Amino acid sequence: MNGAGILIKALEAEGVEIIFGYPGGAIMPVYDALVDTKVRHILVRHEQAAAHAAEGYARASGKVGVCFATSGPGATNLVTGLANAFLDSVPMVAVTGQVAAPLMGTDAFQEVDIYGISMPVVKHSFIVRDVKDLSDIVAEAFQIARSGRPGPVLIDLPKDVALAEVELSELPEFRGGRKEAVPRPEARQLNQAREMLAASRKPIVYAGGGVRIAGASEQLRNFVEATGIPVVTTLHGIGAVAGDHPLCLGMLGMHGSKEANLSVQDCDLLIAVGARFDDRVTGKLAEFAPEARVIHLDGDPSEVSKLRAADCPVVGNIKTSLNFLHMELFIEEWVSKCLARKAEFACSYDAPGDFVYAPGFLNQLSSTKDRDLHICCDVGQHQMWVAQHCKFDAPRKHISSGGLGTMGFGLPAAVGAQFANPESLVVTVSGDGSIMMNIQELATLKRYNIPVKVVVFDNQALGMVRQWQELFFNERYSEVDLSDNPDFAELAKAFGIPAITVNDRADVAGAIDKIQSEPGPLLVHVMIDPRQNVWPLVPPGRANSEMLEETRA
Amino acid sequence: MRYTFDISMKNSEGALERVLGRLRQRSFSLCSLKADSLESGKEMVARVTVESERSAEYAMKQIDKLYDVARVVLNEVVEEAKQDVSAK
Ligand SMILES: Cc1ncc(C[n+]2csc(CCOP(=O)(O)OP(=O)(O)O)c2C)c(N)n1
Ligand SMILES: [Mg+2]
Repeated sequence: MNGAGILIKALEAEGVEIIFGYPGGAIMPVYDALVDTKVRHILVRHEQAAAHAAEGYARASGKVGVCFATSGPGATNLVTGLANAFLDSVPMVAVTGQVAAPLMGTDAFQEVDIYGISMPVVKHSFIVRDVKDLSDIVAEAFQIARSGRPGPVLIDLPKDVALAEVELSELPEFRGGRKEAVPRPEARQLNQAREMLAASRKPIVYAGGGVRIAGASEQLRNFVEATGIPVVTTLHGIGAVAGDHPLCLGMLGMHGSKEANLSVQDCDLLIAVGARFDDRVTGKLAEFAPEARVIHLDGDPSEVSKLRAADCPVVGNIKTSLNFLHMELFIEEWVSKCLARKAEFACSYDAPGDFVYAPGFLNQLSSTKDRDLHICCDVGQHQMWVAQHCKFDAPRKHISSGGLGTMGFGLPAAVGAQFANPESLVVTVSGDGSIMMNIQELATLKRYNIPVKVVVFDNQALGMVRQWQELFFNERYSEVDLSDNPDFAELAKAFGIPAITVNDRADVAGAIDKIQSEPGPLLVHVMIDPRQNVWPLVPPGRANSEMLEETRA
Repeated sequence: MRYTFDISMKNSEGALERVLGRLRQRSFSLCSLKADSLESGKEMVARVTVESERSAEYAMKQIDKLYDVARVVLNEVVEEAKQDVSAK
């Protein structure tokens, strides 16, 4: 068997069911070996999409996503996808073909140092120098990708290594599925956390993406039930507690809800659970939750006290920690204050004007509960509207590019998410800017008849940038106009995908019905108000209490 | 602040590069470096002096996260760096 065959065998041993990729010269031996395996390969139309699809699959399934690309331009096209997975801590293994080892370092055709290029955006990486190491490297790569704080791992495979023949008897046995133990939290810290909880009168849970990573949603919910503490979430914490739970105050931060931000600013105890005090969350850090002591539960020691000193750091398995912290608290007054705010600031969805109101569209879409709904987002205003106005009952169902904020993520991520959940309704919510960044993946939807529904909110602009120019650059609009957009419905039809355009509020219900009932892929082109902004908004560099709100009538 | 770290790592391809890259990217600028691969060839030890406004703990946690790194020890802290900066 040759190296390529060993690679595929090792992937099979890891339980890999699906690979997203794109072939080319240096990775041809691997594509040759694919002919003989039952592992499914999905041909995307751009390597960036291969990485995003692998990430979407990983996020929706909890498994490790796998993607392939060839050397040179194939490999560099993967980089954005690796960075996205790195910043959002998603387990992935990427295999790149490389020129033959003797040619490496000679500026050979399609040679780039992808190992060096990708170093800052991978959790770890390997160059396979000896075919005998390959099966071990694959096993190690999977173990690294999924353990601790998960992340992407790159394996660069030179062509001659992929072609090298070895006797199977010379190889170490295929291993697979090893797992790194998460440390147990220290009893002393847990006891201190209990004391702080018992003493607090105004506690808030601040839940982040670490809850999903630790698979600790259930433990978080039990903790919230036991203590009755109100919860705010980050973008990646959405769904960690059910969005319609009475104690859920929604997302905090730059585009957070008023009730979330004001409650955090007032609280006397902040229980950070798998969250990292990102600048989009805290606003001006020095004025974030100014009266609060902090308990920080996290699996990653390097996040604790990185930006905000924790009065009680609890490093280790979040599930164990949460289970230990159950107690009855006497915080009725505080809870009623939080809930009164929630009622006061609830969105009414009866916006003035005739345009389709995107927040209302999304709220209606996520309220129809007859099918298990996953939403993948692109980046911009529409992404924030999803975070604000859709309710999720599990963190894996809301797939959004948080750390990197990658326009073009949504459509390929939805391809991956749909393969992870063939029975679910998977919707991509995109913008007229973002969709063009990976529009070629409509061809992938068509080829495999992937029933992803693509909603394009068309505001004829790079809306989020336009909003900032309006508010913070004296309405000096610079390169944000997209009024000459293609006709997205016609474009979809050219790919062989049915499409509808929604111009009128009266047509929203019908469009949502069609999203629910259409058996195959569908593009829904929704014209919205070009001047609509995302509210509320904490201006950059300001405290979260200084939210701007809608002013225009 | 000027910190000197003793770092021991697996002597794998690019291990030292990762350490230096991580330090640079996290705003620790390099002052001096000495690195040797040990006789076995499997381990590399490096003594790295860096300068930064950030804490030693921050650098250590970031370095410790690297998969090839076995151990990071803070060997020395010198405060003189601040005066250096103002003198320039
Ligand atoms: C790859 C990439 N390039 C640029 C940006 C900067 N950016 C953030 S939001 C945005 C506008 C997005 O426009 P659109 O997709 O139409 O969404 P809208 O804000 O209009 O809803 C831009 C250019 C980015 N996040 N990603
Ligand atoms: Mg737009």
